[in-house]
Amino acid sequence: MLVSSLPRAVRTELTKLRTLRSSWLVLGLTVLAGIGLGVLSARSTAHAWAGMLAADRAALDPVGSSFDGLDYAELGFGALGVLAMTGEYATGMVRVSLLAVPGRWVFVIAKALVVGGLGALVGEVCAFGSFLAVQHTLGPTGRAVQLGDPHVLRAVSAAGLYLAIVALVGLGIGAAVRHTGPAVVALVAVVFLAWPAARAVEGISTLPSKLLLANAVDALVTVVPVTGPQAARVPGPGLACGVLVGYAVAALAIAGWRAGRDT
Amino acid sequence: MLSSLGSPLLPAPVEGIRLTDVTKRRGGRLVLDRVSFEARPGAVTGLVGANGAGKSSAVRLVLGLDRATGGTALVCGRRYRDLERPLHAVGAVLDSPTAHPGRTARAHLACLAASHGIGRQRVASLLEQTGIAEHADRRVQTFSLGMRQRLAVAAALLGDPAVLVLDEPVNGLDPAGIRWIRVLMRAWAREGRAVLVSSHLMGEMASTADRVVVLRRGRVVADGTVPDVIRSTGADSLEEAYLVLDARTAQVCS
Repeated sequence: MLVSSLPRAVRTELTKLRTLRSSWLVLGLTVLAGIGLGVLSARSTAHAWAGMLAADRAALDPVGSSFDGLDYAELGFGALGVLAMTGEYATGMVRVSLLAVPGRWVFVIAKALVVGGLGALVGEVCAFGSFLAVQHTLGPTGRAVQLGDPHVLRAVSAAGLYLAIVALVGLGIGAAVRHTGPAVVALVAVVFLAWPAARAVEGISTLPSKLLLANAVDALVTVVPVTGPQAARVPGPGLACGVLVGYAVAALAIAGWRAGRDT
Repeated sequence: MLSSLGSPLLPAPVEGIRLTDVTKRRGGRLVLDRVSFEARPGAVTGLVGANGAGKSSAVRLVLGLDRATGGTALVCGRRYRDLERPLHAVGAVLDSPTAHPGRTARAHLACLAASHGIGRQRVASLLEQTGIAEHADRRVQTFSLGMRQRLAVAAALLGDPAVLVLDEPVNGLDPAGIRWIRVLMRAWAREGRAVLVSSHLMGEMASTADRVVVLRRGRVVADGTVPDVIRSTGADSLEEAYLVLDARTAQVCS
């Protein structure tokens, strides 16, 4: 049942995404913000470079600064995931969607494949686009790096993949909450604002901090070792991968469970 | 069980809808209490009752949108969720909006059609048949209630289904819209399809349905042809028969 009906369910989800103006709007603005803000920030650095202190110059992480705009783009990817689900429940469309694709897991997996797949594609476009544009902008500083430099390819592709994970987290939250407004609030709480809560219990354990999306992705997108108090919060690469996969799996599990409930 | 042993060369006999001892409990409240009835091919079966009698709940269980607490609801001999290509078996017009307001009518149908590999040609011809072809590329949020209902009917017919289920389809429609739905339902039944329609408008049901199932507080209190139900209560219209049944069961229950 799952195997036979999944390809058609995926085509349905692609059609749904393609035929809504909001999808294009969210994706367009997200790519614009993701690359544009990174470039603007790099231009400021390049302009200020001549007057910068040696210590400030040394602190510049050319790879990390490629992703300045992606912090902002995260919100767009999360919103894409949220809307994919709440666009169904808030409008009543979900009922005919489930009449057409009655397998709840088929429905959820098809949505996750489309949102996750498109998230990964556009996420990588953002990450690589931003990286290349920022390195070009940083040219005058003499600190620009290339994709072939150690760890750089890993960092850039992880940054793009992370955006797909945020989109999936949005999907899970959208399925759980079903209303756009509250779901976006929950998304912001989980993706952007969970750190004070984790930091509050650091006296007991730094594990909650290590389980945060933001810290997990930090571990994968930096090419210079993290120092200072932040070092205790950033998980190792293995745990970081586990955390990202964990969020995606949890989002899917929640979405599947919620879709199985009465609509 | 014998039917499953039938020759694979013959098409499966067309079955309509069959509920057997269906019970639904929601939040501790009994919404449906051992409900059994049938909607047969070639007939319009009206599911009637007051608001809150359980009509929509029964429809949702038939369509697999909710899960029954007990009993079975079968369409074409199977549970809805077990149907391989459900839109070819059952078409449904639900009682509240089911299209994303931001999509065009054509895009809405295309989304559903994609799930069954149904082509653009079929979508275009249904937009034509339901009279909304000239508005097909407008977004649904600009549609009047009547046009939305036409779109819902087009969606229900995508797979040319043997069974049609309509939940309060004439609510809010103008006289022309009401007649359009009535004529359609009669035509579907003539073509041999099973039509189940829920309504609380007795006059409308009297002129559309062949049989009626009367629900009261989640229980079936009458089930038969329209003339039989009227005769059994000594009334002279379906509306009056319904009110007699309502009063009678109210006494029994209290």
